[in-house]
Amino acid sequence: MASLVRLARGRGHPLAAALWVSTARLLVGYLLTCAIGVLLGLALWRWDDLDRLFGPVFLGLQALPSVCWVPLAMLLPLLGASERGIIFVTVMGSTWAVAMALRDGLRALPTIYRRSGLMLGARGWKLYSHVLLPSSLPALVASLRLGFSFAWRSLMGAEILFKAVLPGLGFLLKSGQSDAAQIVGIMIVMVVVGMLADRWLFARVQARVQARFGLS
Amino acid sequence: MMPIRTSPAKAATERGRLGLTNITRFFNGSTNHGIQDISLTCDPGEFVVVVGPSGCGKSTLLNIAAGMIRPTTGTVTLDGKPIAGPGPDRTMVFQDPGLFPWLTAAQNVEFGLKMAGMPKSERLDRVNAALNLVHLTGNDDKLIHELSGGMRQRVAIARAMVLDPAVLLMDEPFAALDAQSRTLMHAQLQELWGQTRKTILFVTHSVGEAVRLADRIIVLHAHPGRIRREIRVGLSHPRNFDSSDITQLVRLVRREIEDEVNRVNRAMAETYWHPAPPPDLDGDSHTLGGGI
Repeated sequence: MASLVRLARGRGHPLAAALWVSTARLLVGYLLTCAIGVLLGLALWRWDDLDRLFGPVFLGLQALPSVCWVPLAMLLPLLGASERGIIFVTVMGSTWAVAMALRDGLRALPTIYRRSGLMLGARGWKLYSHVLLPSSLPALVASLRLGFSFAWRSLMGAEILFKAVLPGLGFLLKSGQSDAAQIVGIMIVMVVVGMLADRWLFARVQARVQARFGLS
Repeated sequence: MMPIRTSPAKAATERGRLGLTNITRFFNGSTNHGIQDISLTCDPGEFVVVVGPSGCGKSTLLNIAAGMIRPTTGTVTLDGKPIAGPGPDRTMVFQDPGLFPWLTAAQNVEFGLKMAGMPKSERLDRVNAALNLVHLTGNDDKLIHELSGGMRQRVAIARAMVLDPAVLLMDEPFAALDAQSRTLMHAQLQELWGQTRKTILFVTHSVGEAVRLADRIIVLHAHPGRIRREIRVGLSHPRNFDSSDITQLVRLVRREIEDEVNRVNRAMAETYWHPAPPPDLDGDSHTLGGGI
């Protein structure tokens, strides 16, 4: 098995190329997910009416398997079977999780931070930037970590189903066809990438935040 | 935003008159809960303590004075001017210190100064002075979770004092501390007040605490909250916490509150438990709870 992975690496470096492509897509998709998810989460937390209207909808969307977004992506005129379509599926499969996790995390914040901030003269946007946002850091980091794993999963699913785009890891998985060794090998690569990113980046950042806050 | 004064010592004598007039605040639409028609004035430099059983609305009153809650009717004035919400001229110390866990002790203390736009060099001096005031010099870089409960509360006091407020509002700040720490904090607060002579409005359910600290004790009814009695404490400062004057006064105020608690219990339940008074061993009444 390992030898076949090495083979895949040798043939004009398709593995390296695929890794490169997948990672690039992940970066773009994940950053979009973060931006949209954080804004949505903040909005749902801040405005009760929005939460009552959209909260259950987002919860449902979060539960939707990410591959279910593929047919829609293929249909929509701006997207179609292109890079944009893949990014779309990646984002749709993860942004709701980020939004809901952030909203719930913000809700759990003790109200005394806000009262202290007001008492000390923090008003308007300063209250947000100096009190509310920093106090929400543990919840934010946790939701972003969650969003990452969702995004990676969504991306891999999309890469398998999309045709006629640059070959990523998902494509290599599909192109293995009857070659079980290649299939399993690529799966191992996918798992390892997700694990490493989580361990080297997210776990570390989260540990530092928790240590600062005295939560660990 | 009130300008930060640079001479802390003389400030308290000319400012800090807190006026609460006909304050009423009801909860749940019912007129049986909340506070009703409370009027109270704290003179500059006075230490006023509000005592009462749980649920009498003393915390509500304090939050109204702070501007956190708006009263249903009535006004709050500071030095003659009506207040406009919470702010650094009436700083608070809560029962939960409410310090920001992502900041160090020094950063917590300087937070209010930062919000007021003070330059960094001046902030540093003020922060050091404030930490000195609460005997926490050298703990600048400690994170909040590295401090004990008593130390956290002292940082909270430093944070409130560094802004040179007109009035200091304290909401059962020592209730979560153990008895020894509490006695220590009483002594420290007494010293701090002696040095700065701030107007302090202090809320507690502990009679002993009230008698130890107050110039004037306001005893509150419950259901709805009303002022039952005002007691002027003529004892000089600093006070010896073990003196018999204090014990006697504690007994007197206690009786007021126990009557009140029993009245409420009687109204709310068919039977209530009134513990038999302990035997008077040597003339000095050993009240339940040791007078604290």
